[in-house]
Amino acid sequence: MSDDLDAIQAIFFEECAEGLVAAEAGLSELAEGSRDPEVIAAVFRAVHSIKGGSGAFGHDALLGFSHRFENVLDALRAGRLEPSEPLLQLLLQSSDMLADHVAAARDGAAAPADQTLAAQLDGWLDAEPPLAADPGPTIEEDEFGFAPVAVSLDDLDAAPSLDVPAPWQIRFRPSAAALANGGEALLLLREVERLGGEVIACDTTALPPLEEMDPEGAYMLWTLSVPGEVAEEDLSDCFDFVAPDSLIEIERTDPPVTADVPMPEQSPASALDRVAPSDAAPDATTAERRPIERSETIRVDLGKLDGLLNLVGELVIRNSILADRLGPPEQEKVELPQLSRLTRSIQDMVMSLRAQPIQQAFSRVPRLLRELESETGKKVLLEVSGEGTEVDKRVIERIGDPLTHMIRNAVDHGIEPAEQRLAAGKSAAGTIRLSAQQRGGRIVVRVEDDGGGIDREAVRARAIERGLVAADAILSDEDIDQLICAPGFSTAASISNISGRGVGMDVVRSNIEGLGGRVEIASEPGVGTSFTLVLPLTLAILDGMVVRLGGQRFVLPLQSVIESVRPEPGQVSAPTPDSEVMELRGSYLPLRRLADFFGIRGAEKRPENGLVIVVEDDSAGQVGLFVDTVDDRREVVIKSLDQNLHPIRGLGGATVLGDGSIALILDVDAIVGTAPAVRQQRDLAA
Amino acid sequence: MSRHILTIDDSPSMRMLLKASLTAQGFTVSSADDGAQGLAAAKAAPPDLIITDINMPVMDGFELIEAARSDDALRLLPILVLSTEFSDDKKARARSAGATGWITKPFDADKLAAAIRRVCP
Repeated sequence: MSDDLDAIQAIFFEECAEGLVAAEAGLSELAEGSRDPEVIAAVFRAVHSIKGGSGAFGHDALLGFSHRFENVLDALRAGRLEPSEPLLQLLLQSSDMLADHVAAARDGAAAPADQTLAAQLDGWLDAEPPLAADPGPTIEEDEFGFAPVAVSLDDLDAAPSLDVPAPWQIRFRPSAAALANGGEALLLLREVERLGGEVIACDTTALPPLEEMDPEGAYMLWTLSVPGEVAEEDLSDCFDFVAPDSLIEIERTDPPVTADVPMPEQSPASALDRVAPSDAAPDATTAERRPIERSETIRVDLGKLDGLLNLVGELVIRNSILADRLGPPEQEKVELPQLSRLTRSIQDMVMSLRAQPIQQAFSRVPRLLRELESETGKKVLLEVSGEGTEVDKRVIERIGDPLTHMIRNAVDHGIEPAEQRLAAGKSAAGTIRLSAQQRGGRIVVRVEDDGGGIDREAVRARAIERGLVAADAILSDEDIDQLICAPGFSTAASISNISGRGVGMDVVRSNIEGLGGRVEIASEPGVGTSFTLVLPLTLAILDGMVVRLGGQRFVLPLQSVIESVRPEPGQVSAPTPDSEVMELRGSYLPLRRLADFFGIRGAEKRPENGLVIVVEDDSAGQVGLFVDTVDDRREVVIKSLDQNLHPIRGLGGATVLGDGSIALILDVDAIVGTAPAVRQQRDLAA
Repeated sequence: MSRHILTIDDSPSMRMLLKASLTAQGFTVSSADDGAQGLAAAKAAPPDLIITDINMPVMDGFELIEAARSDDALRLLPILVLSTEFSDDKKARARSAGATGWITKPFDADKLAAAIRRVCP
């Protein structure tokens, strides 16, 4: 049972995360000048939902703060407060505080110190009725009735006696309005009977003749008697829904003898405790409840999901083995193609289980930016797009730090101070564009700023100072930009104490490469800089082409392959000693010999005896890769290399082939797109 | 035949919590994410009781209750409001819209059960 509640609670915290994102987004819109009532309402709803759940799960500190926050939002929503700059600032801070509260409640940590902020929030409501009159939704305050129930105050003042108290007498005549709204008097009478009461009289004198009677009218007056030991509150609860124009009188038949006895104590148990039978005494309802809840959403341990993913991977490998061993007619006979399709569907499904919108990673950026704004005094606008793009959960987990660093970098080094921006004819506030999109088999995440661009002279000087490059090295602009990511470029004694804290760009790069992705940098002086993270869509399985180089087998990801061509004699030529080109249908294609790239001996040398695989890369366009031959095309399960080996440029991982042998997976982008710069830089950095 | 309760709340955890609590009490529970969906669900298969939140996107609880009261099949249906709101004017508004009763979140399972007994045959 506690599992179920944990599961519901986990969903509550997911909602909180969504709510915080929504509140954040709405408040940011308001801060940018929007006055759309829908935006205000959305922020209110988000905070309101967090408050609602926090009470249900007994997170009192979260409840208290969200309640205050909500009060101010409610005043804003109702137009009692103006969305002024200082108020919006406070609300943004409150949204951050709320996030801290949610995190503390989720992790079972101590609640953050919110007194100052809470007092400020209350301060805005000074014009409102004083807070003392508004006790807030305390747990004890479980239920509110509609009707100011007609309870004799004399009886409230008189404490019940230790002796048997005098019985209660209740007179009750529901109004027609009470019945019209679905109120059913009979049910109330039954409820009183449950408490031990009984109807002692029914006055039917107001009942009209049958032909004049409105079946939905109310004509009866009941008198009930209830034993005196029943708590008054339980009685008034019975009638608290009844419309105010009904007659309800609850009185003791005799004034009781006075004797001080404490009122029955209301247990301040949260709804959680009430819903949950204790584990020590499981009740019969537990068993029947489980399956019903589970049918909506279940929370699954990520380890199990990964286990499933691995098993699916094994299944794919077994498929390949079968395909290897059986000829096409036999494959048809055992329905292997159908099995393969099914396997593929399972695989897609499992991958989709791990997919999450990248928004989760983006959601902390606005807060980070606000902190950076106050640290640096720069003004930065954030534009976010593609936050709904779904990526693997592992990507979301691992992309957070790199993203943080790139944003810090952009604010600190990219965006210029306001005066400098104005002097350059730009707006005083800088803009950072954060975007995500799926492109083919890849996810492209980009952080762009409209700052001054990379100061290449400074970078070069620094690299020389750090011994990363020789003082007389001839470097292209791209080479210099890449130096930012070189290990050792960024240190604690960095140009700024903002970007210098935490990780350097080299760590960003290794994080991203650990995910099978890469980092691209583009910069234009005076216009801005963009950092692009190119990540694989799936981290587990890829469609590959198995090629041979000097007897070894490698896998080329099929998504980058355009075609394969066997060169005719003379089709390949070498304009310079290090660069070969192939003429293909009237245009020239740069040619890379993979065997040379990896230093493999015994590979085919003569172009006309091998094959050229034409691949396409985002940045480099089409390039030909020279291999000995192509074995076949298959799906392979990617096994990471970094646990066993250092990341090797040009290799994206390894896989097990159908015959049980291991093949390395080629990273086409690394080989083709950035090859010259990378090699040069690797030499420089070494 | 167990009684059917339609719960309308935009918060999934609140819907689940209600469902856990009400299912344990022997009710059949269905749920909707907002007033508009709730109204459509109630019209398609009138439940024995509606428990609705107030603050929801698309169509809020007040609008839902008003719409239900002007629908012949739902006119007399008991509708409980379950909300974190507790101000008197909100309650008055719910009452004039036609709500049968009001329960304040966070709800207590026993009190919820009692409240249901008082409005749902």
